[in-house]
Amino acid sequence: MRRGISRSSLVIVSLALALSLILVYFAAMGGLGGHPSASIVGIGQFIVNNTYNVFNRTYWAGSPEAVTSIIWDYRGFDTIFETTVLFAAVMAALLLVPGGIRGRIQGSGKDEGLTLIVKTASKIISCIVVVLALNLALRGYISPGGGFAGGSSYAIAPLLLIAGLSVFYLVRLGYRLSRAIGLRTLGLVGLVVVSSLPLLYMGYIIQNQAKPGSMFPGYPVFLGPLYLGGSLIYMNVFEFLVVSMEFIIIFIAMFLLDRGCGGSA
Amino acid sequence: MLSWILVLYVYLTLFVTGGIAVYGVVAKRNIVKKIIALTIFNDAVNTVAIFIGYRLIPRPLPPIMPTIHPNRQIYSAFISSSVDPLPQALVITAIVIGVAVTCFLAFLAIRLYDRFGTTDYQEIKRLVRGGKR
Repeated sequence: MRRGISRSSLVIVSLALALSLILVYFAAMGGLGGHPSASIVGIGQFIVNNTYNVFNRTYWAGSPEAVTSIIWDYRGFDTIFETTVLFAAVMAALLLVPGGIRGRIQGSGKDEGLTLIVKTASKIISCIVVVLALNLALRGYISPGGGFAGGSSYAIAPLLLIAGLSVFYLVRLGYRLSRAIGLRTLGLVGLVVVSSLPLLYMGYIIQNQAKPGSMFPGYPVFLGPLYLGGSLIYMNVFEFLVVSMEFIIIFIAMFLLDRGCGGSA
Repeated sequence: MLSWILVLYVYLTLFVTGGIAVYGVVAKRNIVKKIIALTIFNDAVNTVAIFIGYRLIPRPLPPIMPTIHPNRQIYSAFISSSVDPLPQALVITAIVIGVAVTCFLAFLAIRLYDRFGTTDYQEIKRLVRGGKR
């Protein structure tokens, strides 16, 4: 029995090693398009040329951050459907929760959690994480970051509080499953409104700046001395709301599942 | 020559990491270890995607314009030395989707543990065959 397992794992190890060596061979022979090279592919070069082209604004996105302008402007439909995938994953997870989404968390949590040092440290670090996540989300249109990155780093804070203290502390702070679901719905509605507002002006859906063949003038890029970056800042804020609240829903629901105490409304 | 050796080394590292992750998914009997191996595979593939977008020039720049009031010189320096932003944009969403899928798999693992008292899938198979729930 013992020997058979080791022989089969030897076969699997050698197969995995052979597969990776073959892949390295084909990658080095140019199987991935001869990369890395001194030039980048045409569509990437088009986006780099146009994302903040203040000299010819025909196809510009109004954002110096090429990655955010791809996410919310050039390939906005991809992002909308990825938000849908996230929505479906969270819905599937919620369906498994005993007692449904109205499950109430009972208990005080006085004796739970780790030592006082860990509790204090996790409180301080979670404050820092929240500030950092808001910074990532609100400045995502001029620097690395954005709604996805900000939302997933915001979710670290409640996770840290659950691990260090207890879920009851989180509930006392005001994180509730129904409230998180409401805020997520608000974020989704905001995404829909921002992306379909150009349709009123006979524009395209998820349109950011003025384009040939559409009468939509584009979202404001500059507001006096302030730099706004078109629709990207609104999209980032709403996506931040959606992603962070979906992760909080997952964590609280996972706790409910772990305890098996759904309870009633 | 040296740069090509380095490129080959990066490919080797990434694909061997992916191979180890595939071994973990196939050979490990504990479902939690399978999920961990899956996340390692996810990260290895994402890093390959970012590496494809790299630009092999002496000083490549991140795909962010350094100022919001660029002149011609800054603009032409940016378009001639920025790395490809497209793989990075695809990867940032792939990471979030990967986390969501991992959360769902963790949910399923918790449910299995609740029901069978173990996360070893051969043990679970034996329990199901034996009719003991």
